Amino acid sequence: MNFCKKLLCVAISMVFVTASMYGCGSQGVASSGGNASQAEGPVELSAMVMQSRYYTGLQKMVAKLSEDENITIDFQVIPDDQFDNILKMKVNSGEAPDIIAYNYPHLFAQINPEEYLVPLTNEEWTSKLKNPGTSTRNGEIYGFTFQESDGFQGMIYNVDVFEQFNLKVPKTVEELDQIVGTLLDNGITPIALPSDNWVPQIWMTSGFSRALGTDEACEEATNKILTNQAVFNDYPEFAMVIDDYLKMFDKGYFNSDYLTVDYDTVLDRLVTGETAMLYGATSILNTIQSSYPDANLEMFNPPVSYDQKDLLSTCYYSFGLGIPKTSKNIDAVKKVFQLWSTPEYCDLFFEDQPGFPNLEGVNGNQQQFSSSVNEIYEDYVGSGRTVTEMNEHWGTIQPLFATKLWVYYLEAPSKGNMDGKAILERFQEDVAQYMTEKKAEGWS
Amino acid sequence: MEEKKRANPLCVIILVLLALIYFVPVLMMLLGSVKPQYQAARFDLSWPDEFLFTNYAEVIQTGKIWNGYKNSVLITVPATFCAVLFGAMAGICISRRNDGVAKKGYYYFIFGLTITLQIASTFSLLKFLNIYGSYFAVICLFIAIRLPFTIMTFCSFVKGVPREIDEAAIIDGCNPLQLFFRVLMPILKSVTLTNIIISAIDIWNNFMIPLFFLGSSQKWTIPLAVYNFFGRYSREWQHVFAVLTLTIMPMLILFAVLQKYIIGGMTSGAVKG
Amino acid sequence: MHSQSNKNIYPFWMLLPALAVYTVFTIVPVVISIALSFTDWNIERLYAPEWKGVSNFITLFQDDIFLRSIGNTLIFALFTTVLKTVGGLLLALALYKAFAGSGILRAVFYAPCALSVTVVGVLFKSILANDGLLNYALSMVNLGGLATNWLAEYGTALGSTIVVESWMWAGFNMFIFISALQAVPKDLYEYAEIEGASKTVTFFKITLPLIAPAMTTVVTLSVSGGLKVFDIIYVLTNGGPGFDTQVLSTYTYQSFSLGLLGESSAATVILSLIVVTISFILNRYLVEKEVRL
Repeated sequence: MNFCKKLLCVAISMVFVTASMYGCGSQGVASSGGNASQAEGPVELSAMVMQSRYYTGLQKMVAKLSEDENITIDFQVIPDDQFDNILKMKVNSGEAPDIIAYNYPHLFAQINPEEYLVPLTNEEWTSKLKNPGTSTRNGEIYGFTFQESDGFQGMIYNVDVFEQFNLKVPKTVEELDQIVGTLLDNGITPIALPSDNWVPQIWMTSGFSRALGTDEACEEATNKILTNQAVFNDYPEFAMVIDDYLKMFDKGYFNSDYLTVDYDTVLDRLVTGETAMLYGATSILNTIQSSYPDANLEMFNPPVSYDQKDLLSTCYYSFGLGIPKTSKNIDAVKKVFQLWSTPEYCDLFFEDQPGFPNLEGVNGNQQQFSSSVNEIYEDYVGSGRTVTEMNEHWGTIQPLFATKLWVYYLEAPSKGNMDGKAILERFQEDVAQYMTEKKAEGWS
Repeated sequence: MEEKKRANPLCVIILVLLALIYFVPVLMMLLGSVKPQYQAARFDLSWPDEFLFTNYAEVIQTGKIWNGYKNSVLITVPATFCAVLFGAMAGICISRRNDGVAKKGYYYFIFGLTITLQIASTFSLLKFLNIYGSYFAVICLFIAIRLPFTIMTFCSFVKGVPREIDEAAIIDGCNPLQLFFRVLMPILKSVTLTNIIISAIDIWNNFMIPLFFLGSSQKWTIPLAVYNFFGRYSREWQHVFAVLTLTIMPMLILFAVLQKYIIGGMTSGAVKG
Repeated sequence: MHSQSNKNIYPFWMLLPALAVYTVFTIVPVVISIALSFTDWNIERLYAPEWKGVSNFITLFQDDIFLRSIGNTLIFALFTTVLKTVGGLLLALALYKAFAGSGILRAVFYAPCALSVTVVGVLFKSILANDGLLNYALSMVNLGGLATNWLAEYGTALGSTIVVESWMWAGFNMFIFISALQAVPKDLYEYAEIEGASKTVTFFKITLPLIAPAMTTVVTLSVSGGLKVFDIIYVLTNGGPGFDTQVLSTYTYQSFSLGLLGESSAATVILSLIVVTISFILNRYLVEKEVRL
């Protein structure tokens, strides 16, 4: 028996040794190309990014970097729905790449920046930031953020359809209802809703903030809820917003196949005029226009019953890059950020996709925006009638959104089994379990 | 072994119709891969307005296709080889010894058929062994996953091979290694080839294991290449279709080449204690 | 004496490589999962799980969605097993004798299981869409009334995943049956014909008993595969609409992705228990039946 055990040990170790030799051997083969050229001094950095955020602008910057500076960045393009898992697993175990690409400040909900990210506050380019807020936590900047903000949320509409039926941008809920009625009479779906649940939730994330009215009110409510001093239903505004959204289904606002139709198809319908509107955001409008250059689309801020002050919900976040503390190439990455902060590089980011650049002197290509976008921006931002969308405040429980809350938003209308209050009660349970397991403050 | 016969025509017609329906999804993919963008996005069986074989050229240029192929081969070949070799050795041993220990061993391995992928604990294990992110780790995982089925099929197949062959070989002075490689493996050719095909297809197509357990995208396999084209904001279906076609092509070719052996290789009486 | 020589001819070390790799990379993770299912293991505390007793299991059994996913898993396993087995057997009976073109037909029926699930997901989601190919085909043959949004309702969504899974794997089972059918001695059929036995009688009295071992393989593989199902649900419905088509594996995956590793492990343990119990009882039963036939 003892002999058997020994034999087993020997055999296992032999299998391992031989096999690991193979492993190393093949790794050697795989990277030999890189090693050979290493003599000339190129740097190779690793990075991870979501498939949907691997923007062409970013790809152009990477390409230019490898041409001009001999620095290559190997981006791992990870499927959206797996990204958070892989990110957390890698970061928590010290296997993170040199660069993490993510939306700021959403990244802070996934990993604790003070523990895992390199502070960049002393970098030269940070002085040129228009809005360092998205990447700041407790006074330190933890990321290279591209945009000042990601614009705002609003109703995207097909101008040709509106003109065909002589419709004007609605100022009141009644006017919107009339427009919907006209469209329905003419066999056109008023508003598009895809099954990708991050689209329907825009109604709520903007609605909650618009209903509460100020950023301060939103923050206060959030802090109480996240530290277990209050529950969602202590704030009737939340349930009101959801009920308002659910009522739109009864009124026939949306396409009937909202449970299965995907985002791409919905965009196609909007462009072809099969559907007249889509509640989205400036970034969505940009991407539609870059894939359908002929599309005639504009935006308006939809009137809702729970917001009498007519507020605009802004997307206070930006795509950005962070450096994990475990990176062995921190200085090289910092050098890359310094290079990328110049217009020479950063303009490339906005070339195909106009936006609001975060760095002074960078061309955001805003002339490419639809005229209404610039008008709305000036009108609302100029007069201070803006609130930040609710998701920004609910950062910590962000991982629960797509798997729980946003699913309820689509389940409730299809089954008719929940109203706003019931949805929030159900979500309250999810939050309680999640926060307790996380051992968050106030939940033990 | 198979003589050609005239089959019942009605039966053949039904089969052909069924085969056509069976083939629709694949056809959709093949046609889609050479369509222009606007047409590919429609997801139908319409004839391409124009044949754009440049779609393939484009994805090969940008999509890290070659690197993906190389990695897939680097992983699939050794994993398949080891899974079949180890499985054959173990299967023969278990089936021939046929005593109490062997029976327990058999059930120990068959238990593996019921196991699902344990992502988190496997991750911790690989970290603990300090092999996370290497080809080696992924190859081992694949071998472990494929072993139960391989052992099961070899076990039952060996039962059908007369013991006298082994005994004669031993009397002729073969040692166990010679018996295994020179005498038994040739007899077991079809079950071996069957297992090679099934294992290779399974390993080639698996995307969860490389996704979670391979560190850098330099090491990523071909099924992961498609994510370079699956953007949320600009989904280029013609490119997606082209990558999908490129992904499955090698396995379809392998299958077409080896398929006639599968018939003899799948065996009866497999899951017998 | 006999067993002594057996040990020399088939030495134990032949088992070792398989045993080592399999133990380390399959059994050890399972053991880790079982141990950690009793802790509060969390992705943010990867190396500091604390003992928590059976509370993970209690939480699970209090969750309606979890209970529902057990039901779905059983339904899925039952129907896919029947479809895959009967479908595979019918295809095998039609194709086991070679005729012109039979090779191509076999290849076509086998091909789906050579596709990666990612591919299958993309293709079938579009086919089953509201304005997809299936509804179009139905309206072409004047069955437009049957057209529906297939993945939008519990019944049709689960049904669709069952059909697609069977589409993928019936051809695989066909091959197992074909090889079994070809091993049936031809003179038995001739004898039956001389005796004047009808085709049905021949099938039930001769063919079926002789291919019973293949039947055992197919049924056992299908049942355990069906109970473990993950990818086809993941790519087609992702457990939706709502949480209607959630099965045990997708449930496990979801709590894993929330970082609740302890709870996820507990769900895996329950899943494994179910799969092991059902597969082994079924296998025992079928093997016994084989013997009696």
